[in-house]
Amino acid sequence: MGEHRFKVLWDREAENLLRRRGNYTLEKIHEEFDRDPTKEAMTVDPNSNLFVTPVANRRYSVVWRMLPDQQVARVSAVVPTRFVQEEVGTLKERVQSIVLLETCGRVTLTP
Amino acid sequence: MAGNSVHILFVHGVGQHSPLSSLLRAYQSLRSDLRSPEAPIVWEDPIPDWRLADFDDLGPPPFLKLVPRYPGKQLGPDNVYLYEANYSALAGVIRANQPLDITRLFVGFDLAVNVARERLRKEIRKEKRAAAELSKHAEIGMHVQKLADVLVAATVPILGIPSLIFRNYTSSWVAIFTRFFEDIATFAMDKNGEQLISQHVDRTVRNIVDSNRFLRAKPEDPGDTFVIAAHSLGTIVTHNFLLRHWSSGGPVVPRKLLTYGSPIGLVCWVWRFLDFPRLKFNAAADQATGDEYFCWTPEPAPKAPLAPIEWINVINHLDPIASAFPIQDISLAMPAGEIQRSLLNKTLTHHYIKTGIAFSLGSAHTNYFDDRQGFVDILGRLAGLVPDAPPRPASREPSVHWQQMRSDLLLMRWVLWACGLVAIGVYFGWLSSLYGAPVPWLLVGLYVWPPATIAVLAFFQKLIFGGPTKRTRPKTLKQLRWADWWAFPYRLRQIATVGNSESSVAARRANAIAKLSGLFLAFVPTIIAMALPVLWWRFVRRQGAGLGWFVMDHPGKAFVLAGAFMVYTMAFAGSEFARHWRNLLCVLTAERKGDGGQANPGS
Repeated sequence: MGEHRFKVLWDREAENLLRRRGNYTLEKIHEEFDRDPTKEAMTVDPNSNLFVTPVANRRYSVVWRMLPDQQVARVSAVVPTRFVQEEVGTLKERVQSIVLLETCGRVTLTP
Repeated sequence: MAGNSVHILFVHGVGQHSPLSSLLRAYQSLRSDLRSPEAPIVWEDPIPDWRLADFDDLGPPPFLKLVPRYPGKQLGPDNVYLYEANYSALAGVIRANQPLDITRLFVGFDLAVNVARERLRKEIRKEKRAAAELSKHAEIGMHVQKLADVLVAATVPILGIPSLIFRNYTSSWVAIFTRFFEDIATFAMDKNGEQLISQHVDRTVRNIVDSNRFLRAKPEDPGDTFVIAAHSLGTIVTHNFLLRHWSSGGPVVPRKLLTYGSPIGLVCWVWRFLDFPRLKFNAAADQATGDEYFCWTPEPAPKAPLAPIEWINVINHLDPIASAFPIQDISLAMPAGEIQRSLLNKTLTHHYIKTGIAFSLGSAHTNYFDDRQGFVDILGRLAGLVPDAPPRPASREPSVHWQQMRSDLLLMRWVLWACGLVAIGVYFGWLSSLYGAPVPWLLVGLYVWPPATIAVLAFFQKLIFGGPTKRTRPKTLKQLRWADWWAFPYRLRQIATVGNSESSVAARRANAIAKLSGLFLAFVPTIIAMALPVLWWRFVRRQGAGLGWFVMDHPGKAFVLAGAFMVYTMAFAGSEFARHWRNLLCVLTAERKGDGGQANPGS
């Protein structure tokens, strides 16, 4: 993939989650994700264009939403866990609950 | 998403290991890069989805408990427990109560190899059929003999008078060297040591599986997973444990086994070579020769089918201990086919890694955790901390591994030879300048060839210390041939009858006077070698100061010269070790060329 035609926007909460793990981690994950958000991305919820992309050798997962009208990938959260491709409903439930836990309920992932 | 718990027990290798050291080293390596000189940061953590939930540093055994960051919502087991079996203090006490003389240990081993070679030679002559296979073993035996010779010679500079002179600088290194071989002897030659360590490991495992943390298998539940990760001598201890418990089954038998830096291949071959006629393993009690070198009792083949185990053996580049042992070595009493059926996927997986450069010989045996992408990842997968999704980390190509080993050993041989030449050059150069004459240089030719230096040192060590032992009786020693160079000093020593009888072997006691006089005697050949240029100079000039004058008047310079000579002998010993090790690898890798170069050193 490499080149993509959309902008990547990081929500403040996603930035804060990463910064808690240090600016070194923040920069590395930013760099990797911004280069290609769709690399090995999994669809969490096709209706709301919700995806997760594994980064940092699959140690972290970036949860993001595609806003096709604006050509923007909006990052909602980064969580230190790995997901596997499974039934979409189960994956969505898992992603949502983990993001809720990690952000202490501040990010809900509802469209 | 989650399953039951995984319990992983770390069994350390030779040397001193303070309590918790194996446990914490494994844990720290799983979470950070220990090679970094800086304190770790979160980014390095390969398992950020696991958190440390408990640390019981008392035990027994002490353990760390890791739990998923998001319980019930992420991949992997419910809990991962890390334990350690630490028999280091126990082994230290055993040896403190009965210290072993390392020089005699090496000479005794060299003598035992001589006896085994002679026995094999007679067997080959007796039987024309099957002689090809035995001849191959005889060839390997010859290389092992030469390696033993180097060890015998190396004790002069490492344990002898030079080391006493430089003890302020070498004591910790000598302690490591001594402890290394003491631990091996404790488990392989001392029945008390073997039983105490075995019981310690048995108890540690029982404490794990009997604890309320461990969920045993039930008809409807496979129960918790028990894993053992063993290093170096720990793999021999674990192998021993496995053979004693495998057939009885139950939770004590690990489902997964990770061995790294394992000498199983080397030890199994040496055991068969020294203790079994024609190298045919035989567990029948009436087949014992009575002259066994090892203290181990051969275990008969189990009758019940064995629970399958996943066994991964990791071999680091230039690790002199690690062997890619054949399946047969897993149980010498069982047919290879049956052993295969007892392994998951019918395979013993050898995984080759490379953590260092061409001169990493000294660290290759202990640097497994440095391979973060390979070894640490495999460990994480076996522990359930990392999803074990294919593909697993790729192993280096075995043929490339052994080829590079051979070329690096060749390089090491030449470099160490060069280092020895520089050291002896310094010795001669300075001596000449002190005397104001280049005459000593005329003798330098005697000192430049490592095989000659090592042969002379080993010869005198054997001559001085090579009497009969508890394992090699005078009668057995007499069977050695005069014409065999490696056996010659033992036969020569027998001419002097003192200390050669059965009763004198039994009566031999280690006391300080005997030890000191032994050290002094062993150093006499080295003193002669060091003094030869001085004596030669006096002989040519027929005047001038002698050795006594030199040492008394210039103690500082004599100290530095002794240091240069010590470096010289050690470098030459290293060069010879690399040469014989390489030659041994050449024999072992040549025998399986048709097998894609997947040689089995130690097989």
